[in-house]
Amino acid sequence: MRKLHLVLALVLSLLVAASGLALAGPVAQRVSKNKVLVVGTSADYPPFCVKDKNGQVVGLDMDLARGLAAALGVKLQVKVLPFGQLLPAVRAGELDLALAGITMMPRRNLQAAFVGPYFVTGQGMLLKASLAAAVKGPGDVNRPDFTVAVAQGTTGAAAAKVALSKAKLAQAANMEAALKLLLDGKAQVLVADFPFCALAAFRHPEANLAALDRPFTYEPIGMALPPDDELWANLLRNYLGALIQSGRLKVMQERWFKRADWMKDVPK
Amino acid sequence: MPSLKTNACLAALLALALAWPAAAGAGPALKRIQAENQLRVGTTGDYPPLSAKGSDGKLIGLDVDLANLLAQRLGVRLKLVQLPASRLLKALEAGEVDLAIAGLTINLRDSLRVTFVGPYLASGQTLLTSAEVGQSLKALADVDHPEFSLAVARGSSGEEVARQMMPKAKILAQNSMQGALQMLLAGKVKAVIADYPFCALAVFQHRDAKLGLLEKPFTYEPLGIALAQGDPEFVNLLRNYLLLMQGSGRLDMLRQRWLKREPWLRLLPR
Repeated sequence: MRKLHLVLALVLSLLVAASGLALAGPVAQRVSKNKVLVVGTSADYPPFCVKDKNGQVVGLDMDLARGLAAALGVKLQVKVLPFGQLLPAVRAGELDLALAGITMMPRRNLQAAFVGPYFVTGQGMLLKASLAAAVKGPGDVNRPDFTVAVAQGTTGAAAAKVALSKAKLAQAANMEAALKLLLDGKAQVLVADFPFCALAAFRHPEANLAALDRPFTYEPIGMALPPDDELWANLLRNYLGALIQSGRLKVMQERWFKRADWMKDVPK
Repeated sequence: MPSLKTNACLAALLALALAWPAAAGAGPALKRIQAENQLRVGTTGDYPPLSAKGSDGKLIGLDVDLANLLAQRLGVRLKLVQLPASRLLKALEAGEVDLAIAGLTINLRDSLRVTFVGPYLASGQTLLTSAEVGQSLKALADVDHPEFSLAVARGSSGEEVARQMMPKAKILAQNSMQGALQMLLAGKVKAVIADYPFCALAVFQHRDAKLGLLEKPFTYEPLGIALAQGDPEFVNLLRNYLLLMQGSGRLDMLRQRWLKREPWLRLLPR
């Protein structure tokens, strides 16, 4: 009987420890113990996250990650994973955080918790600068005499089918091919992620392109974190709140979305 | 040594120990919703334009739309459960429904029992009157006046507001909100004090009476989505869902559809 009690006590203490750990916030505990913040990113979605010429990941997401690690007084470790593996890795506890321009949506929220938005994007439009004065939104190009380039299977293609149902749709195999349709004059408008449109205007100054200054759909971008860790979510929410209130976030956003100087460090 | 019993007991405890962190990590409600491919939402069906029963017996309203869109975005079926207001919180606590969306006011007393996410609508007690009288009202003093008559439902928040803020007015307490509205329509009082959704509905349900309401209510009653306590993942998802609805302008469209326009009235039983 004594032995049984001992074993029971052991099991019970295990139970208490397990639940206690969950209450204290496993991520915060892990980060402060290891003195390292592990952030996952896809490094393929500029200006959020992209590899520079030295192979280092840079972008708005990395500014956020570095700022957080500095605020916590720990080192930053960046793990590059394919986009599709980020949320499973967050869920499995392999990452403390994933930052890769991830749109917060209910289906993804079933896999991981989200804090944000730290950036609001949506589908943007890119057109010839000469057209930009006459075009304020999708309504202005939703006409049969306009050809709209999109990449097959993207959010942009879906959005164009709804918002630009009267225009002609030119579906390309990928984003670069869709952009080429615009550059070659085979389409007057390109519909794609807002950052892509903004970036393309920078990348091809010779083509004299203009991006619509506002997205026409709403896609809040957030930080993905392990589910069921309220302390970590609280910490991130407060970190983000301070960045917003202090104006730091705006400075970071402008650096990556309004200016082109970072582009010289990134391979074309 | 009572080996069999002990071992069984140990095995059970160990299984519990192993199952615990996993269950906690997956979020009880979200796990169930995905496993059953179904979201269960409790609503009253007796609070138009938020929750009402259509002539075909189906539940309709702004709250029902909110539930529908959530299920759609999660890619699961929606099961609406009609419950009286007094049963909603109990049903959440007992795990009979995943959410309650029923024009519930986020208040501290109920927050002791359930978690609220929101607000998705700012309601409150407001003033319903004829457009003509409405134009002559410039300040609270115009209502808080011995010659100004008000109808309220007895024991309602509207009565409380009237007695506190307009103590000088002639306040006529009626048996129900409908009773108070009838007094206004019959010209026996100058105004009604009731909650915003009720007043908004009255404006277009009685077009000929040319009613108007005070757009900024006297009180602040934030309406929220209720869920069982202790489920941070579900809270996170719902908060982000509302953010998406708000940011995309969808929530505003729903408010317009149910609170500002009348086409949906034909769905109600005659």
